[in-house]
Amino acid sequence: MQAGKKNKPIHYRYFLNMGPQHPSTHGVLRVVIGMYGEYVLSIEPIIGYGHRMHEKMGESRPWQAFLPNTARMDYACALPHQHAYVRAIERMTGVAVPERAEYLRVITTELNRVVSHLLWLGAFLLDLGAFTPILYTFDDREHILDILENVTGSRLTHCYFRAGGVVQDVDDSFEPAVRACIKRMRSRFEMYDKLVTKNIIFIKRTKDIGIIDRDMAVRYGVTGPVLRGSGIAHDIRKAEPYSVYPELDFDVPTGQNGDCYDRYLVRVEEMRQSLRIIEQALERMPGGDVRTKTPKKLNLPPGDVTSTTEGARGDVTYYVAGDGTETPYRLKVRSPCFSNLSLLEELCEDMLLADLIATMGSLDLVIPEVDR
Amino acid sequence: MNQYFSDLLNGARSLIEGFGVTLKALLSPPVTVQYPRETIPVSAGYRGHIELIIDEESGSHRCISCGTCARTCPSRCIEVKGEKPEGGKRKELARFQLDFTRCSLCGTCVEVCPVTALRFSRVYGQAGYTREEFMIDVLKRAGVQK
Amino acid sequence: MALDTGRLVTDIRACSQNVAEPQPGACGYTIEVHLSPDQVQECARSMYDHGMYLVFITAVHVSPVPEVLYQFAHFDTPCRVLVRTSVQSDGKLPSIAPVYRGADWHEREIHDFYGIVFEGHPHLKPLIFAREDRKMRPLLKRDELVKERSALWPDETGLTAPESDDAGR
Repeated sequence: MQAGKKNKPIHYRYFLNMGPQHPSTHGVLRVVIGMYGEYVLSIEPIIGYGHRMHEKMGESRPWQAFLPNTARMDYACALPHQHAYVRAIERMTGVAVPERAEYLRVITTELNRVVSHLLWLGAFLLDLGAFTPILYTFDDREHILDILENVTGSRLTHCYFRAGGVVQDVDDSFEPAVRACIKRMRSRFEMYDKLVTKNIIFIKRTKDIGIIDRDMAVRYGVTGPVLRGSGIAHDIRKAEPYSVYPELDFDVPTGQNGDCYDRYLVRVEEMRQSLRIIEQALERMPGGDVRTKTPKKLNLPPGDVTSTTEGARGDVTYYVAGDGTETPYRLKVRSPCFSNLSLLEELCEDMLLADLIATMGSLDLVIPEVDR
Repeated sequence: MNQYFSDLLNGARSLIEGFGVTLKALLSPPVTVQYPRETIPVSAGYRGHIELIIDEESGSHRCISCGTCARTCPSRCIEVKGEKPEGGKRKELARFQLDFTRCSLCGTCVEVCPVTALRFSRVYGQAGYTREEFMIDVLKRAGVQK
Repeated sequence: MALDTGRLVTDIRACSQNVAEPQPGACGYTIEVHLSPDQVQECARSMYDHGMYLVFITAVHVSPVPEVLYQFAHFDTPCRVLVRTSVQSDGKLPSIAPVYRGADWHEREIHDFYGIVFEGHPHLKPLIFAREDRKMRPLLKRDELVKERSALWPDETGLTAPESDDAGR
């Protein structure tokens, strides 16, 4: 981009406030943009409009009471958060999980990932000005959300995992419904290819925009599809495998340039891989119990643990420090969007305003997760 | 210069292909359901607010008013009160109030109940004009269901 | 670029002798380091040279002084390092924002929640709270609820005994 814009006379520069209420900020995010004409000179994201102090809630009540909170932080893909939390508790207390429950956790988590990426896809294209694809992705989401509603009881804020397994088993309609869903999704990818991937306007708007290199990723702690778009094949499911992922066969898609277009391709390919994982898990799922009985009052022993899972947006890490009582002494939620959003200040200097919108959209932000 | 023309041609082709997709969708049957004039059946696992299970043998609810659900609720939205009737031996449930404006439908109350007295109802599409309409009297609702 | 874990441990031991390698399945991290406050920036520089990315920075309110924890991990080799340090007695700690620019936001968040001041931070203003709430410090516990360090981390976590008395505790 052209240098020297900062040297323009100051009376040409102005501030644009992309306020907390804005359709493109995907939540309540305020961005104060210092501008010259159509170019962005400086950018300052201001967060905290959706702050509810989940960490304090986790430290004031017994650990069982925090489970609904885990779903409210990243509501678009809630199950990885829940998975990380119950894994931390299971690690501390040594509760074992039956194998059928692990498979159910993996299947529902991958369905949740597909749902989250479809939501991102629709919203990203809406930001760029395409009003049609969001309707198609929401139609696809409905089929999967119906399955998740039957299993977990809610469409969005699931409260399905517990320390020691899952709440309830699935009924006989689950497997045929999931298989039908997978078949349907596979036929839709071709449609998205024609409508979006090859579209010249989309390519012009997203290629070579918002390039993130490895050094920036290290300094800011970028994870998830944003990182994989830059060519670094880092996925917690492969690097530090947990649950039954070691037994399942899937690829980790990466991009080449690290621009918005690569991040889009990575997420679409991840949806395909998630469908592969779900199919294999359905084949291998054994019968048996879905929950180990835990005592009513389960104390957390002194010490601390971290547990990490791969969420739809990146590396979700929970840090729990126990002190011998039921209530955690310190509960820290590391949200991937927080780290991904912090690089906006450095990334977006000398960009066009339209490119800034495309970059913010490609980072897949969910602001309640940033604010907690 | 060649790049310009090849971009132009490929771009035009991609736009026409895209139009083909939307035209096909235009000529397909619509997927929109005109709610509330048409409705979709609610799935079996849907979680509405909690209700007392009516036991088939005794014909009444099983609650022993121990208060475990009220104590373990993360949102503290359940109020349970039991009273000993005159000449009776055990406490009977006198009041079971649910503040649905605070309920997060987590299922803790359903799981910790020692006599399995609670379950999720399938009440869907609740809407009201005042907050008081969501203070649900679960005991009264169980009486009506009998 | 894979990580040379042996060299990483050697470089960490050059910063601080108090390094332990607990079982990874037990607590989720592979290396645990205790530092004094003046060793933090050197350790962060060493982590950056090895290509470790910053996972999170958090603090725990224990008595007598709060403890700040950093976690680093690597993209190509599974390795998680948990670095612990106590705040200095005046409530300040050197900032690692000059090395890891992403620590900027994490340290501002800790300043909001706990009141810990990070020296060398470019602009330590409220991140999550509005200006009028900047003195709230919500995650500090009431006096009767604060616990000793030993209640949370008793000595049998597998750490080697410190050779010299760790400053700041």
